[in-house]
Amino acid sequence: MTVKKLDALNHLIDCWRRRSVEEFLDCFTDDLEYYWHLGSPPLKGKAKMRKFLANYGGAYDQRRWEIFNWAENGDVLLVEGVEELWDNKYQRLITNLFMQAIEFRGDKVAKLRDYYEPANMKPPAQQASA
Amino acid sequence: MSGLIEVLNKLQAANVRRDKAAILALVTPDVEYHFHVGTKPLVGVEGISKFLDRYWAMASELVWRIDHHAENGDKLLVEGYEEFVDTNTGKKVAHPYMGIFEIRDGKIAKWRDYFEKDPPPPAAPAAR
Repeated sequence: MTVKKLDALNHLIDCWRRRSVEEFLDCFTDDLEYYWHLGSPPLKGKAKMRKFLANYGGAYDQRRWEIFNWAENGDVLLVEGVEELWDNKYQRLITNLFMQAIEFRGDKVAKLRDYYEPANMKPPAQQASA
Repeated sequence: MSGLIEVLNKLQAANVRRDKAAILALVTPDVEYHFHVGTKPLVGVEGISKFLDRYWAMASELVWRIDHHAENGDKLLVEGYEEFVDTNTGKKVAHPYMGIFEIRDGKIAKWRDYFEKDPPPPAAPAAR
């Protein structure tokens, strides 16, 4: 049975909310590509994603990941949402409005591209001088 | 409602022609345009008109491509690419981007674009 793409995304979000890393990774294909920043090369494969999640989880505590608009067309799900991150280093809450393009192969995510303003993540001193 | 992409196609065609009247006819009087989410939005037809004047004056060799689109109710979500030459600096500006349009009675009422406004030069780390 084919899972609706939004349901698959909500399951992925729920896995991360529970910090169930292996369940989270199981939502992706083995050859996944994750463009966490469009100006940087993508992460490829589950091993790289696992390492990314460990680094990310050490730096930030994601406290909100909410999708409020979505639409799908063929294998692609496009979404708009918001996340709130607690920045462990600078002890501050970062709110990121974002969009994502998610390409599915079957019920699993094969490609994920994040669109947001990375300047929101800069250290406070750099934001003040920007 | 289906066929929301046709509104965007008309907008793109009018942009190629630099036909301001055609573009303004495609937005509601109270249109709200976040040309960069995180920056104060433009509001109303007058705001869009001034934006187009500035944009067309500073951008040449414009490329505006839609790679993926999907519709749900009155909303159109897109993933695409924009490229232009900044006539002030002569430098090429390129943005992969995503956008969302909220359509009311065949016209754009809300429009939000997501991209990195001032991308650093390449050489970012492979993972954060």
